[in-house]
Amino acid sequence: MIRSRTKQSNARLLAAGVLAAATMAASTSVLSQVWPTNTVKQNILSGAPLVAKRIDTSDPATYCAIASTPGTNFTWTDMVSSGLDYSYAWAMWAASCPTAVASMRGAEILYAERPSFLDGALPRPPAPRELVKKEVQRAADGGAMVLMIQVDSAAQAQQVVQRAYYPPIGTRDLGPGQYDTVYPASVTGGNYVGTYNANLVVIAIISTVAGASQAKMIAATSGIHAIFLDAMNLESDSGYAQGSPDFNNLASFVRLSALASHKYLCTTDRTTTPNTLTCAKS
Amino acid sequence: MRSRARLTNTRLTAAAGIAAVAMAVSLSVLGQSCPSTGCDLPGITVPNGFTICPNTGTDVHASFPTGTTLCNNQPINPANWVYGPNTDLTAAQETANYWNPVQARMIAGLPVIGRRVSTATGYCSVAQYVADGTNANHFTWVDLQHSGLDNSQYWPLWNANACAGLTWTTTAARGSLDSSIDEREAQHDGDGGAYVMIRPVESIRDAQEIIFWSFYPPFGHRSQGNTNTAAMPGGTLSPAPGSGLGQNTINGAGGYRNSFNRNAVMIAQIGTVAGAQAAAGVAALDGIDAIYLDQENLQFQAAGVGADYNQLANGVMAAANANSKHLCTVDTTVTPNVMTCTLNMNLSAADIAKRVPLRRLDANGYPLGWTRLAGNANGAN
Repeated sequence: MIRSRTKQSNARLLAAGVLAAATMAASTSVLSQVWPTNTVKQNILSGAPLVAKRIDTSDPATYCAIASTPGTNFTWTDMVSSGLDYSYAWAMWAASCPTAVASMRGAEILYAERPSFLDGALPRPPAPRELVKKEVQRAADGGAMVLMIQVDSAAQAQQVVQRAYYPPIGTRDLGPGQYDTVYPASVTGGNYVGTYNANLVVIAIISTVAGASQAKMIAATSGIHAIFLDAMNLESDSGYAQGSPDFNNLASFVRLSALASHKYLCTTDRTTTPNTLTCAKS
Repeated sequence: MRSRARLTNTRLTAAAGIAAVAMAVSLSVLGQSCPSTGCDLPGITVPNGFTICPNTGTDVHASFPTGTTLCNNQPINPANWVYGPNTDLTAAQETANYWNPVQARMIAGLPVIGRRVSTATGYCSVAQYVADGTNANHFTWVDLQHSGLDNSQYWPLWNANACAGLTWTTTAARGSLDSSIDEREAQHDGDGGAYVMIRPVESIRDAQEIIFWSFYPPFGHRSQGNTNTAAMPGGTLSPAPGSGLGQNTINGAGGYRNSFNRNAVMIAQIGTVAGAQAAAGVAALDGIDAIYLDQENLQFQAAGVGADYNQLANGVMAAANANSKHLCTVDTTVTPNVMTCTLNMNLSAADIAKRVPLRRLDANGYPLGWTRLAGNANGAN
């Protein structure tokens, strides 16, 4: 009986060892694919903090100045609450900025779901919401390597992952974007498409009670690297001021959810111009 | 002749019957309860109207000490979350004059007139607010359906002092005619500075959708961000609505975020056969302030499917009237096009005094299906 148990234990240990070795090999493989200039992904893999600066201007010179702020890892181009269209974002991301320290472009994008409502006077039970493919596609094709998107459920987080990554992880389309210009062969080794999945960082924004209620599952979603606790909107959506027990309860749950899944937790300082996003390993 | 009249009557009766059945079914569908995982709009917060804290039995909007005591002591769940008082208006703010002159006029039952903007260079020539008279101009509507304008072009137009010689006090209310009902359009227009919103709807669900994305919680789901609206001069008086109505400042009304829901005006554009069929349900929703009968498109669409335009248009007009909502039409023969919204009802002074935008949801998280005329039998006030 004891011998049999020992055998089982040995087998389990062996399996665990093989799995660990395989994981290590995979990690090494992923690590080797991370671009030398992608400090965002490098920091995530090493556990170092991240800093981003918000962009809401269409002026390439202003963009470059913000991207050159010491200590900045990526730019956070706000496509949700700014007047920016993608034609401007693409131009800024592609413009020459030799002084930039934030070499990775990031974009906060809309979930922009459009349920398939049926015409007519009769409302029907709404269909599950879908993330419009265009939102991710245009950001990524333009050169965004950090995608920030507000989600209210684990299902939405899964859909973000599906839309954001190339196969086999996701279903992002292959198309002629400007990514090869923004990240030339000297950065990607001439293999943007083949290394994209290893370099992409996805941040799920939680700004609603619904999102907070599913924070644990959202944080656990494979392909999501960080949770952004959007305090301003969580305050708006919950009806409770920051610092109140009800708000703190929501915020704590979001923080603990990130911690439980060993994901980064991001917060923002909206008192600075531009706003500063800071992410740290939970 | 008589036979035609009979036929028309029969058709109208049939239409009314269908509409009644449709509404009944609608209510049945809308009345479904939220599943335990959330609400019947998957994955989004649908405010529920709860006000009593479960552990204390106290109304959170009355005297509950939210600064020190937890109200929601149950597991976090949007279906039973008691929305807090952080964005509540004070009694004085709830009765303050409107900073949106269009809302002020609509509440008073007065006509409202707005001019179309289709180019960035053409904006300033129609941007001046004129309260009364033959050149009355209360709002501008940037046409995002039939122009090449994008966010990056119209946001700067809406900045304070964008037009030489005009100030916040002398500029007509900012409005937009959107091409879709989704979050993107609503968010960008709201954040850009629009507070007169015209959106195309083809169903009651479409109307609920535009309300959902355009208004702030707890009535809607619009998110906050660092936006163009920060440039709004909160301490400056809004345009005088005219006809003796009082002005107000944004700050005096409770600040932009908290007073937006009360001041913003939503106009549902109906230009399709499906939209016309849904008009009664659309017009009944709290959050829909007016119905825009898009005659040109409804005529075009009706002809395409052999529908009777007059019957559809009459139904749309009747829907607006029956729900005490303004009816808007556009004169496309003038340049720029002019939208005129009128309330085809004679309201008493007492009725007018009761007209307030409640911006409330029913128990299922949907906008109340009733007119803004407080005290109306339909109004569960």
